[in-house]
Amino acid sequence: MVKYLALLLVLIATLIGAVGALTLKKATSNHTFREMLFNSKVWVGFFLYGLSTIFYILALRMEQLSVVYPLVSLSYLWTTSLSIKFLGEKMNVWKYLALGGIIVGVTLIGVGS
Amino acid sequence: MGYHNQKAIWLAIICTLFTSIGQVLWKLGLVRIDAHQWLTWFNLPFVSGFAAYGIGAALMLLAFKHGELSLVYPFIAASYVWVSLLSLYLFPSDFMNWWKWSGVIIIIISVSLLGYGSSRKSEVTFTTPHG
Repeated sequence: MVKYLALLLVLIATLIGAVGALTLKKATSNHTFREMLFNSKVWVGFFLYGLSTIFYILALRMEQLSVVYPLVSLSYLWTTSLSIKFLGEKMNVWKYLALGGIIVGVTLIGVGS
Repeated sequence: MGYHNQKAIWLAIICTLFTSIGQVLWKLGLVRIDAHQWLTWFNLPFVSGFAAYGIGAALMLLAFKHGELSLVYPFIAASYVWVSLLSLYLFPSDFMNWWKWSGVIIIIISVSLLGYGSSRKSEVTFTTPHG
């Protein structure tokens, strides 16, 4: 029996992680490495990553990798969607194929675990 | 733009190597920890794991700076490949099976496609000429 709370926790983890990635990307563009270290947005980004990890670990305490991994791979979908919407990044057939492949690949590793 | 994405890809690959080594070091270090003896938390593999992760995080920031998010972020999935390969040698009890191998191979193909797709951004695109 799949524990739905675990699935919800992973879903939240992937959404927070995606927002964290967007925050980090925005905070690093056109900045030197030294500037990044003193940029509060970078630390907000890392904080969101950490928060996402906590949700992920909580989910892993309830469910197996084979259930959790397929959902974790959704983070790639969220992040790509945010890149298109908020950063104006362009997609093409190859990038969509790659995104689908990565989701399938991570799912397969989860199934085998 | 192409040059920057290429630089970002290399940074992302080295980043995933460090975070994967970090994960493996944590796993090696965790078994040496005795919750009742606080000094055991400072064992060499466990502490080195944090150092490796720190370097990985710094490299990720640089990769984000140089490359598109829709390229760099999914590229980090390459860490599944490194962790699987490293575990094969370091944790013989972590068996590999056909599911995992096919996942690893599909990820390798996918990140290659991702790199290829990012270099051809302007040629094949779904956006309209007016968009």
